[in-house]
Amino acid sequence: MIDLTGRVALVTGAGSGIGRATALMLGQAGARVACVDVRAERATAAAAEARERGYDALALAADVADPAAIGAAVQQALAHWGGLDILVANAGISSHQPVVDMDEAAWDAVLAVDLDGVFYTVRAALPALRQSRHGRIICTASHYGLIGQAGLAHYSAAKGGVIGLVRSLALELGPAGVTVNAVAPGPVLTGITERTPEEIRARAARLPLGRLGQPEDVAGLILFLASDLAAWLTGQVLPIDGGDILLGRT
Amino acid sequence: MRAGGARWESTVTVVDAGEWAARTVVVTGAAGGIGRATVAALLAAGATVVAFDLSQAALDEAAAAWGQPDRLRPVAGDVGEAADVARAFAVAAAVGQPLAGLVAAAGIYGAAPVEQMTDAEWHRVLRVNLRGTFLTCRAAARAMLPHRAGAIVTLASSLAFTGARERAHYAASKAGIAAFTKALALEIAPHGLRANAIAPGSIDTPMPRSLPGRSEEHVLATLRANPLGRVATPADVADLILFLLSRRSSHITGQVVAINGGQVTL
Repeated sequence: MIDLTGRVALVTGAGSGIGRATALMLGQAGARVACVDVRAERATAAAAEARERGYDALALAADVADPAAIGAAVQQALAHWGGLDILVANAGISSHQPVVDMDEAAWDAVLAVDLDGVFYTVRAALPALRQSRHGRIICTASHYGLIGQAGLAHYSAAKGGVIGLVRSLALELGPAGVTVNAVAPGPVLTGITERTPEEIRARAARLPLGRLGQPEDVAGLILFLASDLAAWLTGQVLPIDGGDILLGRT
Repeated sequence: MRAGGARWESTVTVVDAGEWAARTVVVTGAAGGIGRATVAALLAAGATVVAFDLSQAALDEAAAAWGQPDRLRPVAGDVGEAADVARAFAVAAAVGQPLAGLVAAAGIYGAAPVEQMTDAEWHRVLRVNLRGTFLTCRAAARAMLPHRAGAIVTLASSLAFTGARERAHYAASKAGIAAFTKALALEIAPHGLRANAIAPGSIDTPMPRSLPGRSEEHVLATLRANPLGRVATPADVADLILFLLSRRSSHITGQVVAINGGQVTL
């Protein structure tokens, strides 16, 4: 039902977690996938895995917080395939600190990747996406961008910012037929948060669905948003969190 | 006075008599539209106000209108600079009474489609609106924690919910402020402190008039484009801010309260 044959996708943060699962799932659906990661070896490994499975993939090393670097990566993908249809702006980092103890460096580091990086990535890809007949932008926000989280005020601010950016982009790009949406994942088992097995069990037990998310859970939603099935869906933020957002907070 | 009428004086019906005597509140963006009306309302209610604004000239001009020089502490500085923020909070501490509130109203605006938006323009807006809110809230929370009392109000915007053409940086900064404020509220709640954001729609201030190529007719039409059909004044917003700072809102925290004449915010 989802066939992305002939489409070109670029995924940032493709070296691990949700980004890697998304790159592989887009490849499985027939898309050619540029795997961008700040760590070259991870980008290479993700693209190699995709090619092993028979998909067309390209590895690109770039830091999304560096506008020149991510701009160059987008240009390399365009030079390789001649166009771009699907952008998944997914790269993100986090750290844990209450506001009263947070120094400016911690704030600036998270904002630079998680919010500035999305802006730089989208801006670099826009001229090509406008040329596509199936232009799609999907940004990875976080449910903390909607509900906030103690110890993650910088991350919450950045992901909330992504949501405001996505809504604005949807307005700007609607006339060009490009849809822009955000996914807002809850607790997903990725490298971004370090958890002990005990913490994982306790967190999972509190969730309505009784388990933490897998990267593939989120990748499936991104794949849907990238597909023709979601052609009339734009400017939305879709929480995907095992029901976490329904729970009261203490 | 322009059509629609700027009402700077608050009616202050949401504040208990005497509640603000011997209490200090820091207001950033103090000489701007909403900030200026908030300072006026707080002074009228009896508070001591540290009025923080980028422009000394604007502060001087506003101070003449505010009156109450004995309870006013104007500080010129940049909310995006930690050292300037520290200076403002040192002035607040020097008043010698607990810091009861922060109103983080400093905000700037600009217009450019994302494709044409320069790095400098993006950072100009994010630095003041979002980083400035972080720096001032951090300073306020640090000052309030030992007293286990205090309330923070930040300025989000309707545009955080609706997005905005050619103002993606502004909408991003305001949606970021909304999520930041919720995170902060969760952190400080165990210490008896509260934080809420407000999300104003179009308000009769200089800000909507600051974009190039907007006629006064266009601005007024925008100001009236809400279900109530009336033009909201800065004092309308100041009333909400004083309520959220006051004892009357003791059980309200971590919220984004819309004040927009009836628009849906989802």
